[in-house]
Amino acid sequence: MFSAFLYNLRDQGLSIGIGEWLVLLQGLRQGLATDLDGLYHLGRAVLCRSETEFDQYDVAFAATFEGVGIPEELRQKLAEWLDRAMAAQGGEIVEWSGVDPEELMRRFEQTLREQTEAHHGGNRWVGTGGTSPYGQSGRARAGVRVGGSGGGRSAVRTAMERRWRTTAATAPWTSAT
Amino acid sequence: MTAFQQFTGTRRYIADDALMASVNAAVTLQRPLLVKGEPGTGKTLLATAVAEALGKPLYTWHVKSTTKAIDGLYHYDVVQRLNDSRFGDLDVSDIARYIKLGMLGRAFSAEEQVVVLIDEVDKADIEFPNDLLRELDEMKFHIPETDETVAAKHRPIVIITSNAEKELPDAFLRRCVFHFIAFPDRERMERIVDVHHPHLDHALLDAALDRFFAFRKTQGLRKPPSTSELVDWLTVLVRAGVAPKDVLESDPFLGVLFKQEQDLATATHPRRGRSF
Repeated sequence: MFSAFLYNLRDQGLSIGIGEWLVLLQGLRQGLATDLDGLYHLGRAVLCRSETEFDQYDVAFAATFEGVGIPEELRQKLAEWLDRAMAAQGGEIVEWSGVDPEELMRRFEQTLREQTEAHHGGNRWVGTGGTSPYGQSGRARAGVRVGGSGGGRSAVRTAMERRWRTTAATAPWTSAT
Repeated sequence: MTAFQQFTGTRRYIADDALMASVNAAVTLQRPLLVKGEPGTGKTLLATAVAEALGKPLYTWHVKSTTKAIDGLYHYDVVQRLNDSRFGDLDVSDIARYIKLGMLGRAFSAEEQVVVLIDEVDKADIEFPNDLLRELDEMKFHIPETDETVAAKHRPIVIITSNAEKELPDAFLRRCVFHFIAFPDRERMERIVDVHHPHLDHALLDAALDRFFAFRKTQGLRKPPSTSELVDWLTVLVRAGVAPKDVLESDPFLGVLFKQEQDLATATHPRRGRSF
């Protein structure tokens, strides 16, 4: 699976040699990346040679690691949060209380995935709208936020946003950035 | 290798996740860190921050268009020796006396690990980075005059900055850990400004940032204003006691933000500047 990343990168036109790849592996062995976020940043620092390559890197990264699940630790935090929210709140939550946690989690992942695809560049997290069971506004940001350290999916999300698209060598000319 | 040192920014330098990851990767993997980014986004400052955060001395080598790779290693002062042989009563047979180490040479021979900043590497000749490849790889060099080899006692942490005025050779890039300092978004910019102007009036900051980000969107600027210009601008605004309302309405002291006459005209009359 991991070498698939190398070939995805090369498919994107990044001429990464075995030398840089070994450096990346060495970095991983030395504990420079402990999660997908870390891998994203480490890989970019070691493998890219210019900001014009970031976009291709993003595409390859998203293609390789999309669908790598939420890590167990986060899954548990999420479950805890949902339990707490259910216990603490009457009102809106009640109608969801019949759904079992597994189902809720599955839907959460589903929502997350759909949001990634629907809101390129958006910074809304799941459920800040207030009607979904995933969000109790402020608490959702703290509890279910799939970002920061330990966030498995956020690196892929970051990659999917493709915020470096405008600096890519293949980007169309614009008069200003 | 023992537990690696973690760079997490300093009180005066705000670093994001990507930057911390790049710095730590460069330190741990013992590779030079190449930092690129718009002028004024804190590339040079980064080296100071890294040195400060890790508690190591900083050696700065400012590269100019005339700089040769050997300047950073050592300099053999032939003229001084000739002078001494004619007029001085010193022992001119001791060539080592006339060898002066450059910044990189001094970093190699330092008794502790140091941080070396090779500033604006793109100013020099295209061959300059290539000439340093071996030295940066092996962290040692030979002085033929004295038949002496200077090898690093402790591999220095090398930070190289580039304004991308010239393309750097591929072989050089391959050996570096690369980081591009992205232009900060508004939220991060507020934190950066807060470091430089801790007790700034919120209304003034908002007004200045509104104008600043609007200026950056202006079409046709040769050099959009960057972080350092914003910080300078705020300093002037505070000193002059400009009211937030006036910042929005009359754009005072624009000369601090725009250094080119043409940009100044474009910023004040955006429509005229767009036609070319």
